[in-house]
Amino acid sequence: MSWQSIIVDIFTYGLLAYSVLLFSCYIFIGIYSVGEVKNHLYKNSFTDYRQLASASQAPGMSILAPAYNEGANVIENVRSLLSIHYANLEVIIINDGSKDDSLAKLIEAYNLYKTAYFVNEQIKTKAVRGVYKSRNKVYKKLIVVDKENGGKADALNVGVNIAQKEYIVCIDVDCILEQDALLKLAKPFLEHTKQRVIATGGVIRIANDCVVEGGRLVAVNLPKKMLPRVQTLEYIRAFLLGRMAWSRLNGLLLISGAFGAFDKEIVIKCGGYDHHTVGEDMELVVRMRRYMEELDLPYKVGFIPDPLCWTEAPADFKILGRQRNRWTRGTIETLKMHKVMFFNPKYGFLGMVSYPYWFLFEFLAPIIEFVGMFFFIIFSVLGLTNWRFFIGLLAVVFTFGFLYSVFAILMEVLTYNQYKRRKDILKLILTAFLEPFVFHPYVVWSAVMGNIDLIQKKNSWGEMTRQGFTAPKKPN
Amino acid sequence: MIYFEIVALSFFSLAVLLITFILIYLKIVNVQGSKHKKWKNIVEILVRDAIFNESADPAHMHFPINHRTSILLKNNRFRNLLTQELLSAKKNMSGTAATYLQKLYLQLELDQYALKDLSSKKWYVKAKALQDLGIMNLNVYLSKIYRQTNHKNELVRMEAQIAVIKLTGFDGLRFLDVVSYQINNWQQIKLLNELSYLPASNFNGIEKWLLSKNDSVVIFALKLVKSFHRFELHQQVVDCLAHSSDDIRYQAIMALEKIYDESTSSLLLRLYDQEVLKNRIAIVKALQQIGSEEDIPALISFLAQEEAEQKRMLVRTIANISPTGLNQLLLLPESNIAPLSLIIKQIEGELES
Repeated sequence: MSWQSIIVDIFTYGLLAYSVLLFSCYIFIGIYSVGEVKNHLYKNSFTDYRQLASASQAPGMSILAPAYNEGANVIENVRSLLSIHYANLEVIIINDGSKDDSLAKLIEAYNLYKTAYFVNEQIKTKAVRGVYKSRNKVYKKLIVVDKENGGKADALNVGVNIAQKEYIVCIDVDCILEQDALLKLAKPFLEHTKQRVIATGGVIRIANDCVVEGGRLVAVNLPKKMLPRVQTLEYIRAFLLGRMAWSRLNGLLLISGAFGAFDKEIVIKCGGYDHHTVGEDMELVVRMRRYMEELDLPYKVGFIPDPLCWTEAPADFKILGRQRNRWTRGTIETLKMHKVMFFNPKYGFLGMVSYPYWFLFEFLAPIIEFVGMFFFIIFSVLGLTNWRFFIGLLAVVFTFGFLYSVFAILMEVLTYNQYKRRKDILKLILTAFLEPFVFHPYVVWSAVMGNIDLIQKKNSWGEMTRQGFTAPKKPN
Repeated sequence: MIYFEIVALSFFSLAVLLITFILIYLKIVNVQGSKHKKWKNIVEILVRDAIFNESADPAHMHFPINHRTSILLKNNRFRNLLTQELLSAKKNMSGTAATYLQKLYLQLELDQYALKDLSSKKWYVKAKALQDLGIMNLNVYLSKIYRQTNHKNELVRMEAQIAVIKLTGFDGLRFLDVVSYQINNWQQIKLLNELSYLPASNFNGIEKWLLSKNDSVVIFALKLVKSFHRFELHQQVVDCLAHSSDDIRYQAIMALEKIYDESTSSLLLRLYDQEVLKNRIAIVKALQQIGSEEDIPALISFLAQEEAEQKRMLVRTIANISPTGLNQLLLLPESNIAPLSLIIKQIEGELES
């Protein structure tokens, strides 16, 4: 046996072993999530959220919405946040040094005045220029903070410093929330007696081509363009299967930055959002968990499978690439910051399962896939490729991916069934079939670029141009 | 390598199978949707006729059920739909209309199905049966329901606890004597909400529950004291301030805010130094409502030892107790130094707006 063939064998069988391990994890996640979703749906059928909306015992919630150059939609977005059903609520908009007329528009629309406000800097942030409140009693829940530009994490930390309620809800200002989203997010904090719930998150859905009126989602449509449609499928898979399974295991490492609620006391004790990373949402959850583990305090990170928040997905490859590049850098930075937990029994399930899973299958997967392809080309040039093995493995990977997506669609149909038309479901199935050819390679490439950018110490957020929710029309 | 082909083919076949299932399921849902519409019409007529019944003798009334409906009643889905409609109508009705709905429910023997479900091993079936019997006010099944108030499944005992309150009002709270599981905050909100619909009553038992070994029962009892302004329990609530649980002491402070007497504020101020931060905040907030000018010197003395956030709370309380409180603060040498100077400015602004 030549040394070349030994290398080829190690490479191919290594790839096979990795694939088997990855598939096993996905199969476990898929099956394990079913129980959690089912349990939630049964429990939900006994829940009347209106009781919480009017209850004086409802936990206080501070919504934190950072805004940077959001002048075009900021008035409507804030109106949408102010219309949320929840009694014990304050809405804090943090103008992160916008260069446009966001602040002036807010001042005019909500009759704001600059108030003397002591900002208790429990977390170090960029300077606050002013705190504004409304003269109109109708908007008494609203606080607008104007600060020097410091990025999303810094803006959220200012919000944490200003917030007066027990829990903070961090959202992207341009997201559309369901009317009962906050009630659903608040409930897990009330349900546990033996563990402290330190954070909860809900399902984010894709709003492209949905009908939005007055800041509210009035009709759900499947995106017409291919790219947002693939992301619709991707989100169903990630939220309905992945996060539900991890939530059941109490091993969730990520609450999406677009919409999540956190225990303010723990956030402050952990030092708030870290502005040194572009993955501040994941990093905060990991740090909070690590904090609780180190103090040996019983805790839980909750997750709800109900669609609570709708967001616009990137509709072109350039913006999608930036987003995925940033997500990759955020993941690596977080894993690096907390590398002490890797297979560290001191951190229990977090150290022995959650962290290694993210390292092996979230961080390493695109690299292994890319390297696998690269070496395949090299081996082909050298005439060392075992074609039958390679094509066989590729077929297994492809059919498994397709099966997993179809399973996610089935779960969606059996549970929330947001896309009611048969045509839409068929389109989603077709999308699942095409995803490995038109979407997946680009996502892998973006992730690899994210790794390269991180090595080159590029740490930009990347501009996220959005088309807005005004374009869609009601379907015939 | 043949294994790869077999595995790939198996995955693909499974995917095709799932797709077929999805399509058949959607078709069934579609067909059932139109059937559901027709059934809903039948059910709505039944419920409407029951509500607007003009029978002179409600005790012996009998609702006419046509042959088609009798046959449909054997169908689980139809029966579930009918039960659901009856329950949602009953929730919104009182008086004679509610009695008629209960009569119809019994005439159709839907209670028998609920009783059968009560023996189910599936928690959600059991919990649903308890919910149905409670909403339908079927006192005759009270003992069966009561037995479930300490069930090992959280949802089952939650529904049973709500049901016994629906059936027997404040007397239903006697489950608190025996409940060994913790009653979570969500359930406490639900119970208090249920009790808020009942006519005010000087129910007994709180004294006992305040001494319970189950901390959640003590917390709930304190919430009852607070919600129903049980002034006569002042001393028992004060005793809870010495409890080892932070949460119980917190609830005791909250309750005292509602049933205070002339000694409450000085008592809370005496405890201030020994308390955990959360309870210190609760004391200061309570004093906003119950404090007097005599408490201001003590509150000012706390300013020196506190973090900025608590300082703000103290200043707000002092300012709310009396306008002279702020003047006293301004006499302090540190009132010109941040953060106190900034906090005073903020509170002055709050008072003006």
